[in-house]
Amino acid sequence: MRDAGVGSKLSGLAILAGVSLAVMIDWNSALARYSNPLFASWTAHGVGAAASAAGALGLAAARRDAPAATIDRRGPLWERLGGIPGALTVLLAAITVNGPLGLPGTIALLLVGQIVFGIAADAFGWFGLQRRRPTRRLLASLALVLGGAALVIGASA
Amino acid sequence: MLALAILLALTNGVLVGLSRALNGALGRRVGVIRASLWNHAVGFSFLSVAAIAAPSARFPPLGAVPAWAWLGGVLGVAFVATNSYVIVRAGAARTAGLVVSGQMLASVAIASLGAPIDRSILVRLLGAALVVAGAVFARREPKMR
Repeated sequence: MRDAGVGSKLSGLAILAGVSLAVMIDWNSALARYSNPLFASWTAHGVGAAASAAGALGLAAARRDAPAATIDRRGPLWERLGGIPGALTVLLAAITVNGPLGLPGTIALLLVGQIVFGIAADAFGWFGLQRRRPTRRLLASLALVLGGAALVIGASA
Repeated sequence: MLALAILLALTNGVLVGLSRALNGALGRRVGVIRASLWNHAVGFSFLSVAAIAAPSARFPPLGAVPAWAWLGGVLGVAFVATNSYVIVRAGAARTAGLVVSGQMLASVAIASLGAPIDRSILVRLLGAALVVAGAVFARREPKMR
């Protein structure tokens, strides 16, 4: 189907997620400097599990947690495994940061990889995503974002 | 060696996208906070196995870690929940682009606050301007094509 774009609420939320990611990386890196990347990521996942469990309990108590009744709540097992690639990311990054790419190359290719994956996942409708062919406008905007990111990363190196 | 490193780093980006897509799929079924709980609990278990395999990493000397450095996981909950909400509505590519935009803008702000004005800051600000242009451009498609 034709991609109709998104409103400011969704855009703002996604940008805020990116902001929280940058601050989270800053905090986790601080912990990793006192320890090591594995310990820092392990701790962050433990703290995150406790915080989200508290959030889920709060939502259940307030009865605000029911998704649409029409959807199958169980679903395939692999949908529950998003935490594994997420945790692997930290370990792989710790390896490539110390190689020829360094931190800037590691971050730049991480950004390229996730955007290319996103384009493919949309185009083929993977993981229950609505199928959408990338418009030229979206591709141009992603190129602008990646170009800007390259400048930011290069200047910080 | 360089080719292998490039392949690993690109694969790492694919893992970021994969994690976002899986959590988004789960979020539609159980809600985004529970999806975030699954993400963190499964990741914690996975890393516990990794820590057992690399025992030296388990209990490092922690010295005087500032309190806020322990709280990255709380931001992680918000990050996963927000991504899971947005990806099923905005698509994976646009979500990735917008999240990268926010991440780059915040890192420019973190690095530039209080820093002297020099060439590096100006290049970063130019980069930030391109990112903003890309994010604005990504937001809406024209009415008709």
